[in-house]
Amino acid sequence: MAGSDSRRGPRGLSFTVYPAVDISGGRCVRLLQGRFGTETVYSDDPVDVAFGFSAAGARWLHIVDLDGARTGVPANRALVLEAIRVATCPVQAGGGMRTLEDVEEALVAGASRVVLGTVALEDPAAVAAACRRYGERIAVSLDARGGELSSHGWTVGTGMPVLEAVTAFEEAGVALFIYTDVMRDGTMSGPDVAGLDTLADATSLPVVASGGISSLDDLRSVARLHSQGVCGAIVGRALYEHKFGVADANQIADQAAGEQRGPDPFL
Amino acid sequence: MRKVAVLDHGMGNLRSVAKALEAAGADVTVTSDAAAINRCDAACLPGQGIFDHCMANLAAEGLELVVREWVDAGRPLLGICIGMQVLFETSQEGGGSKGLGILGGGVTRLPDTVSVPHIGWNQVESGRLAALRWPGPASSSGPAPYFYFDHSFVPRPSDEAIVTGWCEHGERFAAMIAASSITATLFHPEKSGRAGIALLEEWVAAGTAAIRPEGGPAWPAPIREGDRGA
Repeated sequence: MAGSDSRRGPRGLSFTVYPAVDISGGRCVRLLQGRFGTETVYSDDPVDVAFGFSAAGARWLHIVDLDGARTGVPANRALVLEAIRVATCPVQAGGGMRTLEDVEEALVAGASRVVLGTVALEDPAAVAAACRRYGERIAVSLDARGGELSSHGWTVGTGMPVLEAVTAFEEAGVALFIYTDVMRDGTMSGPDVAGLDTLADATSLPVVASGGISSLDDLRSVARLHSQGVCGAIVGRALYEHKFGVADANQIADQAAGEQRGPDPFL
Repeated sequence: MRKVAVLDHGMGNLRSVAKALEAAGADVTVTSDAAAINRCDAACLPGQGIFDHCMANLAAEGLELVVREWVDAGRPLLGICIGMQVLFETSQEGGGSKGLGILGGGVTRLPDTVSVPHIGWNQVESGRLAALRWPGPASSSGPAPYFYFDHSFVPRPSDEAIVTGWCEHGERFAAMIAASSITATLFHPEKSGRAGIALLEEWVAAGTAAIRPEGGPAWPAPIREGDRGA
C-alpha cells in the first residue's frame, strides 16, 4: 500500500500536537524514562483529564493504558474506553492492545486510531490482520532505547534495530509510526531530533514524535521535521506542569504546517 | 434548557454525542423510547459504522417511524455522519441499500484516487460558517473552519440548494445540509473540538428548524412517502 498512488503521502500534511493521557493504577500519571515505579500522579480522574484537554482545544489525544502495555492485561481498559467516549476530539488509544478484539473494542468506543506496541514486535501476523481490516486506523509504536526496539511498556529490549522493523510494518499496511525515545520520555530533556530525522528518512509513512518535549522550542525543533514527514508530537509532562498550554502548542503546529499544508486532511 | 433526545439505535459512540450536546447547553436524554423522544424539543440521530446496520437497527428499535413522524411534524433533527447518510434514498454501501428517503438523492463512495476512509480534520467551505468565525483549528489557507471526518461515503443531494457546507477529498461533496427542520453533518461535531461544540451550541439554541444561511432561499420541503419512486 505505502507509496501507491491511492495513498496519501506524509508530505504536505499538517502538524498535530497530541496531549498524552497515560493511565496507571486508575490514575493519570507520567513515567520517567519509561520506568515503572517512577510515576508522578497528575490526576485521579484520567477521564476528566481527557475531556479537559479536548475542551481546551486539543485536536487529537493520545490515551494509553500503561499497565496494559507492560503486562498485556488491560487493567485500565474501562477508563481508556470511557476517556475515548467523552473526548470531544479524535483519539488514538494504545497500551495492551494485543488482539483484534482489543482493537475492535477501542474503535467501537470511538477511537479513531489504535496504537499497537508489543504485539507488533511479537506477532507480525496479528498486525497484518489488523491492518487488512482497519488499515488507516492502525499505528505502530516504535519505542527505541539506543536505536533498539523495546516492548512490554518499554521494559523489555528486543535487540531489533528500529530501522529494520520499519519496512515490515509498512508492508503490513500500517498507517503511521509513533516514535518514542524511551530514555528521554518524561525527562523533558529535549526530543531525539536525530533519531526522528533518521526514521522519517527511512519511511514513507507519517511519523509522530514522542518523548522529551519540555518547551515550545523543543516542539519547534520537532515541527521543523514536518517537511521530512514528521506529522505530529505527543506531549505529556510539559502540559501537566504548565510549561505551555494546548493553544500555544497548536499555534506552533500551525506555523510548522504553514504554507506546506496541502489539500489533504490532517491526521 | 432545551431537551435533546439522542436516538439510541444501538450503534457507536452515543456517549460522546451526548457529552458534546451537554457541553453545548442541551439537557440530553439518550433513548430509543418514542414517548421519551417526543417529550424532547429536538432530536439527534448520530451514527457510525455501516449504512445497512444503521437502517436495520432503526427499524428494529422502532425509530424509523419515529424519525419520519418527527420530521413530518417539522421538529428539529440533527443527523450526524451515518445519521446524515440514512436520510437519503439509497447508498452504494453494501451494494445498494435503501435509506429513509426523507431527502432526495443517493450516497456514493469517495473516489479511489484518495485515501478512503477519509479520516481526519478537513475544511468545510460555507459562507455561513466563515461568517461565524468559529474558533476551530486555525487555518493557513483561508477562513474555512476544520471539522473531523471519518467516512467512506458521501451524500449526493438531488437538490444542491440544501447544501450549507462543502468539503473536498478526491471530489467536492456535501459536508453539511439544511432542509426543512433537518440539519445534518457528514463530519462529527462531537469530535470536532470547539468548532463542533460551537455548531452544536447554535443548533441547540436555534429552537426551531435547521441551521440555514441567513437570508438564504426557502429550503425545499423533505420528500414525502408518496413522492418517492420505487
